Amino acid sequence: MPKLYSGAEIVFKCLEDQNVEHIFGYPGGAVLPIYDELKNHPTIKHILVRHEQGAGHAAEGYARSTGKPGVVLVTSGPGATNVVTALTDAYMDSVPLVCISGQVPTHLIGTDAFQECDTTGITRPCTKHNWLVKDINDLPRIMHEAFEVATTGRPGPVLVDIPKDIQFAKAKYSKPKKEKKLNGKVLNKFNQKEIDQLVDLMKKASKPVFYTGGGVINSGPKASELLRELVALTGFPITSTLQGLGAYPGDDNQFLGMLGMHGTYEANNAMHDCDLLINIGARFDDRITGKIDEFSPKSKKVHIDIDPSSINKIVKVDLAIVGDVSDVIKSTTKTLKKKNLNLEKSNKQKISKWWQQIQKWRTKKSLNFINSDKIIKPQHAVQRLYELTKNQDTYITTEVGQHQMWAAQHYKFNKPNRWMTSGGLGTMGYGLPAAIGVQVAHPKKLVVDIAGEASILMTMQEISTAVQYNLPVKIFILNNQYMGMVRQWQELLHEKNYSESYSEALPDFVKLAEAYGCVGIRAEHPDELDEKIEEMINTDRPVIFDCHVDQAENCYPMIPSGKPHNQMLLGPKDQEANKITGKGKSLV
Amino acid sequence: MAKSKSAYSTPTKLGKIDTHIIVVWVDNEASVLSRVVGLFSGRGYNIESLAVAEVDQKNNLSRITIVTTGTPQVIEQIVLQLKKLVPSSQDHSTSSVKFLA
Ligand SMILES: Cc1ncc(C[n+]2csc(CCOP(=O)(O)OP(=O)(O)O)c2C)c(N)n1
Ligand SMILES: [Mg+2]
Repeated sequence: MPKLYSGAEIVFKCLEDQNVEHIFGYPGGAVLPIYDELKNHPTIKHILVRHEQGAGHAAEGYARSTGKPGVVLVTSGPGATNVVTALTDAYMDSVPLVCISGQVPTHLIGTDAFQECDTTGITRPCTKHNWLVKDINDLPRIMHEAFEVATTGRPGPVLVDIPKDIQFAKAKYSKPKKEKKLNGKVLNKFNQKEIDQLVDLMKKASKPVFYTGGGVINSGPKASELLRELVALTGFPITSTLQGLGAYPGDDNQFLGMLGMHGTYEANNAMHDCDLLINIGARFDDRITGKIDEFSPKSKKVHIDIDPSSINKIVKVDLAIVGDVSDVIKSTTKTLKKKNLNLEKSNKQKISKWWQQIQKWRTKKSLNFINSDKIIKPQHAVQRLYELTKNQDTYITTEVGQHQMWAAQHYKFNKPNRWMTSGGLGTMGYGLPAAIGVQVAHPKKLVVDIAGEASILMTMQEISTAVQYNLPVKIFILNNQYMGMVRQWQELLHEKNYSESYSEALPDFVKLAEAYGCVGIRAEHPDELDEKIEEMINTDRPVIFDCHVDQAENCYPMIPSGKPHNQMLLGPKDQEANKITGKGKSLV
Repeated sequence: MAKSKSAYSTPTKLGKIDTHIIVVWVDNEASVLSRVVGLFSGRGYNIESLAVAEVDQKNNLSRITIVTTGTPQVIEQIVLQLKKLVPSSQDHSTSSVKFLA
């Protein structure tokens, strides 16, 4: 007779067999048997958050910075509904999460029992898949399948809803099956013919550009290495989406900077004028395409992606290569080398004009801003933070708003998995819990959340988690007292009617830090900025840094919604001349 | 030409809207219909007609027949999304999507 285990034991046996070391969670009635079992599994460390949304974002930060799935444990009802934002966030940005939720016992399901909600119903549209476990004998299989679904193909969140009686019930345990059916191999549907076609297009192109995204990061660090090799081999310019930053060195000469709504002038114009656009692991999101009908009108388009449903979803492409980014790049590089096409040399002539054009765009210096010696400009603050932290391996998370865009523009990333930001969903409150997750995974590294004062208040309570576990995260608030991004849009679109975008009352962040038992630092003048940043870096405890910045600063350059790539606003003057009217006004 | 009922379709991109029949074989279990239908409702696509019934008792398979309208791009997206549904049976090959017309 094989040994029988309780549902709660099986959950942990599965986590152990999946090599899980950390889970982020919050207890409640419907998960108490699982919490009770925690003590028997010393290899698994539980991080107690202060709100289930925080658990979800922390698991996201953990996953994005390690490449491993993040694990979340919440109770039924409010526990489950609180985690929905984080699940949706992970779904949009393709982050592997396994969320385990407690549920009321099976015989009470459907009776409006205390803390009952239709968790699988609510989370169906924001997970890759979810399961309600109704039979204890299914639990081991479902748990292992959950990890498999979350981490294979295009990664994403999954949820396993376990009723309380199932947590007590007993069953046999079985280890995960070795043979994985959904793994990369099966999903690599490309063949050599497609690679040959790609190489052919590359050979013929005179205005090529690589447009890379989060898929390169998700494919693992190897993909970034391979990408660097491919870019060097071809001599082509490369731009990246918000999620892809770090896959290619931000300070390299072939890198045009980020593209899209707040991307650089050179990146967006290169996208518009190119004759060959090679999308690697990006998804033609509306933040990067601008007006879709006028998107890159003269180019042949290639799309490399692991998710077949991403192909032709928004932009029709001429060549689709469905597969894991690493494998596709590897095959491409191999083919290029075999055919002895050193494009960098042989094509130099051909694309030299293109590079000249790009240099011309570069002279616009679209990220420039007018600095001040009286008031801290937010861009300047990010630049100083970069200069003072670049010689150590720093991990950056952000909240959502202007500060996020300034971080993306002015902080240069050289390695993958160092940049965690909420792109698809744009979730204010993501950055602090994400930083906690990153710090849990990398205890010795410097982790900074570049934050806005409005966003940080959405998940502020997680600083208490950081204090509890001695996680020395640094919360670097670019405090403009406004929901800056909202204010900017109101300035641009609503005749400066700053409706409800000013925070009349804000906490004293230094005192708040002290109340939480961490360190508060304030900088109000450009002269003291460097010294204060140094102080923050050298503090081995969590820090809230209240950086008072110019309240009126706007984030440029900008493609106004409804406009194509080549109609960027470079600064306030352009803005006056290009009032957004008509349809553009209704876009987000 | 009928107007697209999708909340998200951009008027400038409208291709020709045609009626299509899509057949999906799924494991016969709770929530599977909701998963399939959710793909349509979540994207603002309309279902003109829907029929579901168990067709293979031994293998626990149901057949879902959906009539829908859309541009070629929308229909392609629907089919690709349906193919991504995770079948819940242990055998990953049971759920399949067929595009009839
Ligand atoms: C949860 C959530 N609610 C609302 C928004 C809409 N929104 C986007 S940016 C923003 C303002 C952010 O203000 P702050 O954190 O101070 O950043 P800033 O733009 O000032 O740098 C708001 C309200 C959002 N992205 N997320
Ligand atoms: Mg602000």
